[in-house]
Amino acid sequence: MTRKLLLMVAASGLLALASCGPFDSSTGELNNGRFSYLCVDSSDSTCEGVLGNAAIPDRIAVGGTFDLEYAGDTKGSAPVQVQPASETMISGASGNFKFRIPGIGAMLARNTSGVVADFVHLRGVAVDHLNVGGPSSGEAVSKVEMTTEGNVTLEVSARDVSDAPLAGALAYTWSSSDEKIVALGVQGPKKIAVLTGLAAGTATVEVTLPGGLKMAVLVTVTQGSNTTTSSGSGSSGTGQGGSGSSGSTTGAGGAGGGK
Amino acid sequence: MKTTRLAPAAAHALLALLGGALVGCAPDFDHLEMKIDTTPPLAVAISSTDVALPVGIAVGVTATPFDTNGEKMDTDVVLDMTPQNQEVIGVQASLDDRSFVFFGVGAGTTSITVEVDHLRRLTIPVTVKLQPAD
Repeated sequence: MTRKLLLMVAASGLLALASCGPFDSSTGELNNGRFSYLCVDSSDSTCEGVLGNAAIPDRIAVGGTFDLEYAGDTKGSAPVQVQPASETMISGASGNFKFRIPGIGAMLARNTSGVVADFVHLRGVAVDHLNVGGPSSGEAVSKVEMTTEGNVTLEVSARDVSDAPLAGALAYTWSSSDEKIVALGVQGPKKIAVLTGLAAGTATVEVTLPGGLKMAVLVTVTQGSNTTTSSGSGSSGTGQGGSGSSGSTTGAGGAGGGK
Repeated sequence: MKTTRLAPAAAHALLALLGGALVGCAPDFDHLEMKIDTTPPLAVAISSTDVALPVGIAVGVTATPFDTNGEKMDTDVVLDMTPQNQEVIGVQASLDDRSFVFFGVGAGTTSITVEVDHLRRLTIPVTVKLQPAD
């Protein structure tokens, strides 16, 4: 009985270890130091407002740029350079790493004589779609109603097939189909766009990735003082009041909600 | 006369025996054991007879040479592992004794040459494959 109990305890311990997975947030897999993730610009949603060190994200967008730092413990503290194990998976040098294809890629921390002090695996995932939402709610919107008296701030993020956000800096491009109706003020590295209603009418605001992936938001500008947004297809629904900018109100749901 | 002729020969034989005995003090290399120290996120196979891993995956490995007496060889015995094609697999020493990191660089086949005290002892075939699609 005692042996059986011990075996069961050992088996459950092994199961617990197996379920931990290889993607510890930042400890190197040889336990000689720690890796930390750095955003190369603020288009990377991993680093909200700060470009400093962050825990290693679960998923990085293929084509997204990122950086990685290593700090060794006493044993592994010699100066090191972080390099991809395979340029087939991850290209670039420090400050400009980029997943080339989906999959798992190891990053090696090597000292000047080539000795590997430690390594960590990262997961690269293809961008499936873009999510455009208000910075406060983060919910996806496909329609925006706004007035000529207010501004609306939209924020884009890259998502995988399960709608999980992906890390990595991406070169977004914003455009308005009619800048006489909706003018775009694009901030910083183009994750955020500020829409200004200039005249009554409708316009389509699009955000595009270099590969051609895009997301469109239909913007209706009216004379007035309130603003609403809608998610999904936007054909119908009731919106909930949310937060906005410059006195406007954003909401998730259908057109006309939240007024 | 015979005795004086045999004496140098006997001395030579004795010296040869002594020399052989001295050399025999250090048992020769017998085999290499490899233990995986990390948990690779995809399946790998690492042994002294076969290495197979996917592109982009790194594995921490401890390699231990054993002598003909079945004992671990001293750590001052130099163990080198050199990939024949570094565009297929990388093998680098790590910080601990006998610890190495194997990593798949590009799809293909090659081999790793193992030297113990600068004598070639093993050639391990290597296969590196592209990662399976999700």
